Amino acid sequence: MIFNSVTYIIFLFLAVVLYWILPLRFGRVLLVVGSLVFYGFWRFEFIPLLIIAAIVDYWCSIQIEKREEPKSRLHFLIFSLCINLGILFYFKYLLFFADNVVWALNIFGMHVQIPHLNIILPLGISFYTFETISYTVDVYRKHIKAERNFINYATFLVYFPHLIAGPVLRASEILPQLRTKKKFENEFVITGIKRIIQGLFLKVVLADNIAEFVNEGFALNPTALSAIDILTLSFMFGLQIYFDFSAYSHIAIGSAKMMGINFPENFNFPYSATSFREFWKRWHISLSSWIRDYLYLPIMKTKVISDGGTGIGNVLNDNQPKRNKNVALFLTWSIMGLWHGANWTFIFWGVYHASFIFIERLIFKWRGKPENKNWMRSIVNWAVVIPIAMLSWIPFRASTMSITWVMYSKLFNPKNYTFLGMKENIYIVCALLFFFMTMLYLYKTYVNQKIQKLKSISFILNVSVYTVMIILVFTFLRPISQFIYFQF
Amino acid sequence: MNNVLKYKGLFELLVSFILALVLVLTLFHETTNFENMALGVYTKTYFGKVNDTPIHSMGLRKMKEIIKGSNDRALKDIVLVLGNSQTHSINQMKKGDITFPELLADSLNKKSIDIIASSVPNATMEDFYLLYKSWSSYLNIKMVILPIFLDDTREDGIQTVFYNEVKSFRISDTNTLARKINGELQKTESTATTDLAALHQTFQERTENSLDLYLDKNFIPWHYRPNIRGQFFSDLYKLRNTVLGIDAKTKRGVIKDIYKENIKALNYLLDDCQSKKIKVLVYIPPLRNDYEIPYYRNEYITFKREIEAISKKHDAEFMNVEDAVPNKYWGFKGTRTFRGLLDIDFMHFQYPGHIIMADSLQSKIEKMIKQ
Repeated sequence: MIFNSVTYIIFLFLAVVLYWILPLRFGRVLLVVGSLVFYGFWRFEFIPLLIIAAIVDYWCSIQIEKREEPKSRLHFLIFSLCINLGILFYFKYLLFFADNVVWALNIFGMHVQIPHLNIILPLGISFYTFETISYTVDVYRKHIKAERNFINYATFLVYFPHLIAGPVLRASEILPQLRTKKKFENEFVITGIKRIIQGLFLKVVLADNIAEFVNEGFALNPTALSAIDILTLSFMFGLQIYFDFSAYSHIAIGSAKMMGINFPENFNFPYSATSFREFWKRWHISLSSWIRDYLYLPIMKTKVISDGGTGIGNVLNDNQPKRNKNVALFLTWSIMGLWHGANWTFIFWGVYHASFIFIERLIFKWRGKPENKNWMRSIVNWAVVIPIAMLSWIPFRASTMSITWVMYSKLFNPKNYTFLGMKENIYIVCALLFFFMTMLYLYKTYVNQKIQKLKSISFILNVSVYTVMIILVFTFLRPISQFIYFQF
Repeated sequence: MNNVLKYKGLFELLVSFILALVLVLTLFHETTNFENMALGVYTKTYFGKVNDTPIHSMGLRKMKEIIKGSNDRALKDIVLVLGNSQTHSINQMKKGDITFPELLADSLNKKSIDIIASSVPNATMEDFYLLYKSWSSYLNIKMVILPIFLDDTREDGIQTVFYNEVKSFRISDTNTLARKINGELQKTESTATTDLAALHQTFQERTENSLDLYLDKNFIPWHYRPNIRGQFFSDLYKLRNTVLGIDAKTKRGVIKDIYKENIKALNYLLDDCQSKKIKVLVYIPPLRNDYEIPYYRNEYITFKREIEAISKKHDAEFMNVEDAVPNKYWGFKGTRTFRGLLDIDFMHFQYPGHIIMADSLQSKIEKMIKQ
């Protein structure tokens, strides 16, 4: 089921009412059944996959916990990983892998043909696979206890708000919330509705309308575009994907909140970042931290410990060989890219980010990390980091690497800065959106708290903002496009 | 005080919802025809008829009636007139005014030449290609009249909304343009409405469609939604024009790639006509010259030369009628800014302009049909 639809609004209303009416035990069953119905509205034939993932990890984690012998524990972990990654590989990477093997064999003169495979990518598979992996790994690491109640575990895995496009949740964050039911508070519903309105506004008013400009721009012949066009398109797609994905997170967080369940935040004004490290602390936070805890740190052979709270901390070993750190960086980011999609463009996108994080590390090493925040330096850093981060979206959106190269090559020829190759509106819309987004960040950071203290002004302001958002959401609420992250 | 604070959020939301509903009901209750909004209040559309049977349609609307009418008339030669809003609009229209396709039909039908016309606002060459292929697959077209507007080469793709009536139509050619257009038509055909594009072939497509229809019938504000959307974009457009000082006189430049795509489509169309021995009259349409034209002179000159060269290459007749309609037969349109009332209309002329156009085309058509 798609969030930006009337069907979802009705579904959510029923789910929330029944959840609060029913006793906890039935409430959880309702959430599992409701989530499967939610998923089945897209394609019911993939529901068994979800159930398999839930059963395998539920069973494996209990087996891991029962055993003390490390080898035996490891066998069950590997078994779970094989099943989860095997399913993911089949549905997401088999065609890509086969194409590349055939291409490589052709280079060596062996002409092989593969039969035509029509594999449909199940929605949300990358998200729920990562969630189930993290759960089993956490049990293996003894950071959490295995869940003995299957319905509890299944609820965590298939819970509809996060099922299709995250946030990538940790069992330690959600399972305790599912075991008990909070006392109903108005605030849950009000905060939830507000987050959903914000999310729908970002999706149906901003992202979907920006998409028309982006689609039109990327449909043009890249050789006819100017450098300014490339920059504009990268900013526009950067804004579209941000609004689109953060919209999903807002709606997911809001939907869960209506049932008194707290999801972690997934975005925090990423385009206000003044470094690449900061960018990744603000963008798709749940995935970045997952990658850090379950890929980057293990590759670096760093001991990972539970911080006792919701997330996982880590012990960084200062004696860690530097090579390991850099290898881990590039390897992790390549996998991060590949997670987004089975295409070289995504791998390139990952390596692009790894390269700039690497460069940033070198700069910090050379100049030392700035101790005090200096606003002038922050602005300069922001002005450098954001265009580079935006340009990383080119391979993300371009269909092939060759188009990516053509587009990037435009940036290095001064002549390409002397003309415009798209309709004028796109430049105006891009500049305005970026300006207002930056203003909103400054307002939220420096003004909002002071305003909220002034009761009547904040009331008028909030009512005005929500009235406009409700009218626009009401007007534009149409499932004309899926969320971009559905394809991952 | 604590209770007030406790319910502050709820109160805020309730007031917002009520205000939103009141605003929707009071501000947006009129239905505007956004399709013709760009024409302004002084220009009206007119689609020609012969003996009460339509001969001219917006896109492919009324296609069946037009084909039936043509078959009933059973005239020897059929001429297809393509165009944009210039073809189906009259500035300062008075009772009894008609557009040039009907004027042509009135005089040419007697000479056993049938006229059918098909036009869409801001028609791209891809639109023309699709219109031409559609009509020629149902009627034995002898000649095509093709106006090329520099303004419209800034637009790209096809405007599927004008082809809904023949969604199942596919171009039989295998060239890239035909494949692209067929893809667009396929997308339009396979989705219940474009509003549900994301739900294509899912169970939710059915529920959402039913809910949408139910709300449209039973919840008045829901019915206004397309109108509010149109109003919203129209106001944004006006705001842009007001802030940036854009009006009808503002120069609009050629957008290289979109222009190229249009020229490519034109070449496909002319290739097809040439191979089927369908005569083509390409013309540079009238443009008022009492004001500085809204194009860059050098681009306009290059454009005219290029169209002439392409026409010659395909053995098509070329005619430049840019000065044919005297300045007194043009007019004004409502401004599309928040300032002032009137703006210059560079696209739509008055009824005498249509008479002049019909005269200019009539002799040319007769001559070419006889050849």
